Amino acid sequence: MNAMIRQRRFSMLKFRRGVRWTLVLLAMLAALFFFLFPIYWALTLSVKPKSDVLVTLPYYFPVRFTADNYVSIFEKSNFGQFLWNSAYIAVITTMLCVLVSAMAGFGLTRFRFRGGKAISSAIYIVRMIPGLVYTVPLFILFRKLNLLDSHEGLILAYCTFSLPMSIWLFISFYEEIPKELYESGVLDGCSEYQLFYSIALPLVLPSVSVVAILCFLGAWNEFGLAMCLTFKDSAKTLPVAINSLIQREQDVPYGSIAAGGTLIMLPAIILSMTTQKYIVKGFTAGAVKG
Amino acid sequence: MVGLQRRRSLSERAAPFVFIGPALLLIIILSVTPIGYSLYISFLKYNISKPARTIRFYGLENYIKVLTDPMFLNSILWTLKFAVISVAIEITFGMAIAVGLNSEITRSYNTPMKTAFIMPMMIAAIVSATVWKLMFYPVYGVVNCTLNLWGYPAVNWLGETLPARIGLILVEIWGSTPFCILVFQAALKTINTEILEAARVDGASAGRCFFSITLPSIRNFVALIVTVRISDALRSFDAVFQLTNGGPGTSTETIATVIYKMAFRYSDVGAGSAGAFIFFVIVSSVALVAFRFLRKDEVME
Repeated sequence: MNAMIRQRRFSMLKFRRGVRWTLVLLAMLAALFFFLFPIYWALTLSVKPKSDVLVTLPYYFPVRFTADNYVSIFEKSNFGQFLWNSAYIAVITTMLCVLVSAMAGFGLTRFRFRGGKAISSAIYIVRMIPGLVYTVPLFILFRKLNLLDSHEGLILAYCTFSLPMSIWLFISFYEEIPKELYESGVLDGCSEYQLFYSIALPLVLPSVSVVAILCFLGAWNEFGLAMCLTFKDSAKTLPVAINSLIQREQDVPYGSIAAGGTLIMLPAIILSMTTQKYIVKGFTAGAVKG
Repeated sequence: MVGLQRRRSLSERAAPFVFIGPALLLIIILSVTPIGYSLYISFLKYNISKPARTIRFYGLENYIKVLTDPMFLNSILWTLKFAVISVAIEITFGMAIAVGLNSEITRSYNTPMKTAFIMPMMIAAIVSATVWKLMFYPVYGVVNCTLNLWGYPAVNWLGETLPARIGLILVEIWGSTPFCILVFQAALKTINTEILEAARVDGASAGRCFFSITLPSIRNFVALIVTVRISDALRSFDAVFQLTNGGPGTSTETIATVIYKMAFRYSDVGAGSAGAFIFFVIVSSVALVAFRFLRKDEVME
């Protein structure tokens, strides 16, 4: 008798557990659907022929495939040029930013000197300033210096945005290095430059990709400043290009817009899939620090 | 004393400057100078489409002009509403998903799920707004087509005030919840599981455990996320610019789009600069208030 009650209670518990599992899984699937559908939709729209897009009963799964949309953005607009502009600007920004902030982060953690704290907090304040504050002065200064419509102008501007964050991240990486390592290096007769090059840098090297990914995507994705500082096709970046594609109110070119959008998201998607660990580290370290 | 000290060469003594100098120089040239210049412009009557001789000192006129502009004042109200509503939803949503990701139920799918959840955050705001705009289009947009398919009337998503506002909040939630998920997940890992297990043994329900143990112990993380997210939401520009461009009428203009238009559409960079500084003050004070308020009775670690 007792055993039977126990048996029943056990199966009851098991049943409730099963219900809970199913509910949690369903909720997670619903969330996944919400976050993935727009990406899926952009991808499929970009490979559907026009006749399958302009329908009121949508093809949720593409049935016919075409590369026309991709061909048309490269042939009818200057997409190749925009792609080059974006890639060039993002890569150079990333390299410059990683180099400068790797050094600055080392300097700020290694040397204790008057004003060091002030520099760190100044960097933090600079990070809080909205990008919009920079648009007007940079526009006027760049116009005077002939830097409008130039790659260099945007690279410099993006460094301003990315440097504070990168320095902040590098400081948190260098702080994990035990002081004893430097001390033994000094005893061995290393100069500060050798300490940096042969002790500190190799130790934070895995984390460099964190900074590099964030800098790259920051520059690749930026829109507001690029719109204010570039006007000619020779300097426009992809985000500015996709903005002008959609401005036409009549006869929206769904396919080309989706193709352009897909191309711009591609680095983000690939990086999310391959370097998830670093991205998570970058965002959580950044958030916990600042 | 002096004799004991290692002789330091000139290059050694210069090391701090060599390391920190380039960054400092870049930040001073590219950040401090423009901001100082912008402050100066904000006191000028300066219109970039007019000849240089029309530039003159304007005192506080620009600030007064911005602060009495009805469009600017209306945009403040909507921007605040937009930020508060979307951040509240993001926090709840992000927390729920983080808890779901941390539970044993999803353990074996953890990595692919996390990959899927971080994607929206990595994609340019301008692109996600573009894709949502394609989905929101009245006739061939997938949202309306699906609504029709299920027998609901189509909604004029970007052409009417309320749907446009809902649409903007939806896009904001889509792009920003992933950040909350990531930070909450990191926060949940800091919790002492022994206390949770002890409570569970004592018969506390899952909900009770969450509200009495989990939530209080990650309170500082919540404060942090709310602060970061609120200040980002208040600044939101790309998505609004692309999706509605402030329309219909001026009902979805945010502070950022209003200032942008002042400076670049109407070429009044003086007022635009003044607006940008007022904007900065608004964003930082709201962030500060949120942080103080949420962290209030927390004992500092």
